[in-house]
Amino acid sequence: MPDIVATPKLTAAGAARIMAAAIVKAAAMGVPQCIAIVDDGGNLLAFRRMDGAKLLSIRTCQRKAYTAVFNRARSGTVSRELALELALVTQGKFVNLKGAAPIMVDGKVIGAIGVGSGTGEQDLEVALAGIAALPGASSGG
Amino acid sequence: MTDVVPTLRLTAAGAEKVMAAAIAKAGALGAPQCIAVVDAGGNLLAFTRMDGAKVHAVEASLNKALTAASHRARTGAMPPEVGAALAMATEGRFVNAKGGEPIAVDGHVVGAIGVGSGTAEEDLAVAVAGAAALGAK
Repeated sequence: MPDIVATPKLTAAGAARIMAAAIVKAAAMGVPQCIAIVDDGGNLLAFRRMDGAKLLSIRTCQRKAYTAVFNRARSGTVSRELALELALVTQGKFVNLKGAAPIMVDGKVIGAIGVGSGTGEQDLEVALAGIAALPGASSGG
Repeated sequence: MTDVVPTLRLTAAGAEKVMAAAIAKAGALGAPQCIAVVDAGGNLLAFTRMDGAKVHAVEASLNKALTAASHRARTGAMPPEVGAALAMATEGRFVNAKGGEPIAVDGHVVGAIGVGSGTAEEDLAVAVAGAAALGAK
């Protein structure tokens, strides 16, 4: 095993591209959203709150993105008991709500997008539209 | 005193203008930054971490913006002892460092921008450039 390996990293430009597509999708759906994009360390890269989006979603969309990056999977898929445990041990950072997906390139998670303010289905739809804008990226589905 | 008064509100489009101007200024300075734009209530509207900006500055930029919105004034001007007391009382959300600038339109603070990752002077210059983009008076 080598000591150091090359790994893809999501740039600010990549995050901006995903963000722009997600906003276009949310606007087309008529559902104002809070949208957060984090890197593979769960650190915030980009955030936008659209006019009319819920204030509570500022935090939840970031935590959804964090959850997707650390689970390397879409959020909202964990069993109820496990989700409560995880929420407790992470002091609420783990959120078992739909609306986030990992951003994957070459089978590696390079970040995640979390969306909140609509229904879980609407949130996920916007998240996936964002990832679809990044050439070569998949969304852990 | 009337019960309800009209007020000015910063929109997502306005926040985008502030963000774009701030990113342009940071790029020109060669200082990658974390930049946060909040509304008058201190709630996040837009955030960007430029390539190379410090991860640590994510939180700092948010809190500088919150501080500028809350005080309706440029950050970093408090005497150190007051600044430390306020930081403790607010669990670190009050930040007595440069880089937070209120966004004022017609003398009314509609929000604020917080910038972190560069030197204090770079942070301030980027925040001022962002706030100025809105045709602020």
